Amino acid sequence: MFSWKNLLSPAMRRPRAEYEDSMVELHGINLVYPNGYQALYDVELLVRKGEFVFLVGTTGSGKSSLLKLLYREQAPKNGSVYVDNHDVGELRRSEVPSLRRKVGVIFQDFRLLREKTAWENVAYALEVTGARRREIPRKVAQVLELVGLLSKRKRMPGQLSGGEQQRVAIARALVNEPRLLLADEPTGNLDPDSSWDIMQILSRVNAGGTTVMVATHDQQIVDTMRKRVIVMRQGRITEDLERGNYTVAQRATQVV
Amino acid sequence: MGLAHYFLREVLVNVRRSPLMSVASVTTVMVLTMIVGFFLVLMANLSNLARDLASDLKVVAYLQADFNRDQLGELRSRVLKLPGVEGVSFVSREQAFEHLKKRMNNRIQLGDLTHNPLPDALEIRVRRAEDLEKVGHKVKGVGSIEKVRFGEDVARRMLALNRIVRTVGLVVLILLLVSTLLVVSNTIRLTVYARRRDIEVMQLVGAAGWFIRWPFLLEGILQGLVGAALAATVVSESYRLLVPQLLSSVSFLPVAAPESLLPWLCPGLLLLGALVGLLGSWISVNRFLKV
Repeated sequence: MFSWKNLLSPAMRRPRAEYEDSMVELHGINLVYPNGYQALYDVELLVRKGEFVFLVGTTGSGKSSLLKLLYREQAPKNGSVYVDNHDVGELRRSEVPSLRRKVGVIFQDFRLLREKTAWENVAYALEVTGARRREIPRKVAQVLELVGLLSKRKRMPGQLSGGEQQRVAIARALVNEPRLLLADEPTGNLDPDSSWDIMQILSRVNAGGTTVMVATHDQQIVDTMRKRVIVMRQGRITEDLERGNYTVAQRATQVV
Repeated sequence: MGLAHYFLREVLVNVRRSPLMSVASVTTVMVLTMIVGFFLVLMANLSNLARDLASDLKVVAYLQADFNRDQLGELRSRVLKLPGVEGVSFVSREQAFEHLKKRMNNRIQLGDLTHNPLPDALEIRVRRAEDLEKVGHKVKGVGSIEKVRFGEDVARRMLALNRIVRTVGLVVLILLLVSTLLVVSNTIRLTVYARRRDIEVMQLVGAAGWFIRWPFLLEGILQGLVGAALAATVVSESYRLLVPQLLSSVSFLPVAAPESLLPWLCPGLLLLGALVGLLGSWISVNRFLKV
C-alpha cells in the first residue's frame, strides 16, 4: 500500500509539533522576502485537523504569504512551521515535492496546464507521484465526479468557464488525497454563482475530513458560512474568531 | 517502462505544439555542428599533411670506410632494437654513387673521379617525427658508424609547426564548442521560457526536479541529434565530392581519405549534437527550476 510516510525523510517523519491533533502550527514566524519586504511579523497560529478556516484581510495583509509557508513556496526567516506534524521550515529542497503532494493548493488564476485536457491536468498530479498507472483512471474519475466535471473531462482549460477551471484545479488538488487543502482567493475571478459552487465543494471536502484554509476577501461568503475567521492586517494576525463574521471582524480590526 | 513512455509522449507533444521552436533549435545545432565538422576536416588534413612531411624525414648513418659488409646483418638488427626505429635499409656506396650521378646528371662532370668517395650508409626510418633526434643520437653509439645526419633543423621546425597547428586548433575547437553550447542553450531557453508557467505548475503539484527536467532534456537530445545528423550529412557529402576534385587537380596532395576520416567524424558529430542538446536544455531548465 502506498503511504506518504515512505516518501518523507527521517527529519520529516519526526513529529515535533506541540499539539498532537494540529494540522498547521506556526510559532514566532517572521517572513522577509529577498527584496527586504517583511510580509509576516511574529505569527502564531494553530489549526486543528478537520477545521475549516478563513483567512481574511486586505491585499498585502499577509494572507498569501502565510499560505506560501505551508506549501513551502517560502521559508520563514525564523520561527517554525509544522504541517501535519512535520517541520516544513527545515525541509531540504529535494523534500519539497513530497510535501506538495500532501498539501493541495488552488489559486485565483487556477494555474492549469493550458495544453492538457481537464482529465490530463488532474492525472498529471498523480503521474508525478509515480502512482501506479492502473490506479490513475479510477482516481481521476473519482475526483472529477466530485467536482461535477466528469462529462467535460476532454475539454481544454480554454473551453471551460472560470468556475469550471477552478473545479478542475480543485480536483487536481484533491487527487492525491491531501490532508490539507489551501485556497488562495479561489473565487477572486469568479461570478457569485460559481463562487458558491466552489465554496460548496470546499465544504464537502472539509466534511470528508480534509482541513481547509481559504484566503479571501469575499465578505458575503465569509459572513454566510459562519466558519472560523482569522483576520490579518499588515503581516500580523489581529483577530481569531470562532464562527466568525467578516464584517464584524473588519470592524473590530479597525477599532484596534 | 511507464516512465519512459510518459517522457517520450511529453517530448512528442511539445515538439508538435511548438514546431517552429524545434526548427530553430535544430537549425542552430546544425549550423554550429557543421562549422565544427568542417573545422575537424581541416584539422585532420593538416595533421595528415604534417605526418606526410614527417615520414620523409629519416636518420642517415654513414658507416666507417673499413666497414665489413659481412657484419651488416648484425648491425642492422642492433639498430632495429633501438626504441622508435621503424625500419632500416642499407644503401651501398655504389648505389649512393649511382644515385648521385643521376641527380647531378650532366651538370657536374663526375667522370673525373677515379674512385667512389661515398661511404656505405644505413637509412633509418623512425616511427614518429618526434623520435628523430633521439634515434639520431642513439644510432651514434651502435658502433661502426662514422657520422649521423638527421636534418635536425628541419625536423625541429616541422615539429614546432605541428605543435602550433595542434594547439591553435584545439583552442579554436574549444571556443567553437563553448559558443555552440551558449547559442544552443539560449535557443532552447526560448522554448523553456514559453513553458515556464507549466514548470511552475509542475512544481506546485509536487513533481520532482528530475521529473520536470527529463522531457526537456530528451527534447534537447533529440533536437541535437537531428541537427547533428543533418550537419554530418552535409559535411561528409561535400567532403566526398571535394576530395576527387582536389586530387584530380593536385594529385600529390596528401588528403585524408573520406573512408578513413568519416567513420569517426560522423559519430563524433552526432555525439556532439546530443551532448550540446542535453547540456543546453539542462542549463535552460535550471534557470526556471528553483534549485
